[in-house]
Amino acid sequence: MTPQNRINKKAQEEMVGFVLIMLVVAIMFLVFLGIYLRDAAKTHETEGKDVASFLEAITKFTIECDYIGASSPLSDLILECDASSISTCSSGEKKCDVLRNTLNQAINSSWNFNENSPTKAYFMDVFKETDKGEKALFNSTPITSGILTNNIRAAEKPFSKGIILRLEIYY
Amino acid sequence: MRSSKKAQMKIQQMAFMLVAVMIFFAMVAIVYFTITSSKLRDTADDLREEEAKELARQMAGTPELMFSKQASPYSSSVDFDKAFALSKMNVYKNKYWNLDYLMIEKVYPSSINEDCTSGNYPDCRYLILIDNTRGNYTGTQTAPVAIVWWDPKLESIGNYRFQLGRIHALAHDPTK
Repeated sequence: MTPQNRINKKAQEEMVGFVLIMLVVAIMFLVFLGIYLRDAAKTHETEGKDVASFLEAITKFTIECDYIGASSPLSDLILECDASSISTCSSGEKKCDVLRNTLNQAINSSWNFNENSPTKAYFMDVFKETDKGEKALFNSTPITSGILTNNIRAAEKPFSKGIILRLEIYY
Repeated sequence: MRSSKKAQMKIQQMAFMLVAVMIFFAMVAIVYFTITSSKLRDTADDLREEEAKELARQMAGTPELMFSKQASPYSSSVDFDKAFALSKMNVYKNKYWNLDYLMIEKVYPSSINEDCTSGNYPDCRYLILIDNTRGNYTGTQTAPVAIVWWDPKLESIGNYRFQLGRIHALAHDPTK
């Protein structure tokens, strides 16, 4: 090999080495970026004080169920729905259905759920913790509406007999 | 002479390589800190908003508005009858609470979209206690509350009716 060829080959080796180093650094950067973005895409749930205040307020809501003019708080209706899923109010409607509809209407009255508002959707569940796991009170179908996103403000309100009322608002 | 020139070339190459690597890492750091600082700004905005909402929540617990006729757990409810009586008194409209706006709204079940007056109470939606805003409600914070009022039709002899409401409050801005 002539000296000139030797110099050229060496220069080429140097350039290839430089490019390889840059390539390795770029791949490492992409891997870290991928891990970071995957972490950012995870669901972020924070405790919502607004949601907690709502649950506190709605459980005191006066329900006229046993007869017209009766007054009992919604929290009593939750316990009655747990005790018997087929018991009815004086109107003939099942207590669990009255509970579900009241909660649905109260949530829709308190927040605006559509694409243009900051609140996109909600998820409400009333369930009981048993030895075998969780048992839902509304025919195993939680109340839900809208598109569920990754930003959640949630709160839970416990009742006696292990019953929990949980509301998630999606932003 | 030739070897020192070669050495100088090598040093120059190393210097250029170091400069290129430093520039690359500087760009990576700029991108990272831009993303991190925008996340921090969002967190600071959330905290500021929560602090302002706390004002609205606290108003529900003041003795003037709190439902105190029964022991807890009802003590965190707003007494709508008491609030209506207060709305008639001028002493609460000025700097008593250091607020420019205070309003209690009946959210559910919804009532007629009217301000509460002696003629329509309690079949009204908005009970305005303070309004010194001159139409500018920017910055008003709200919080859900239970509101309670005496309903003579309940239980045939009358009883307290609890409904879902919302308290709206705007702190006084001393610069305005």
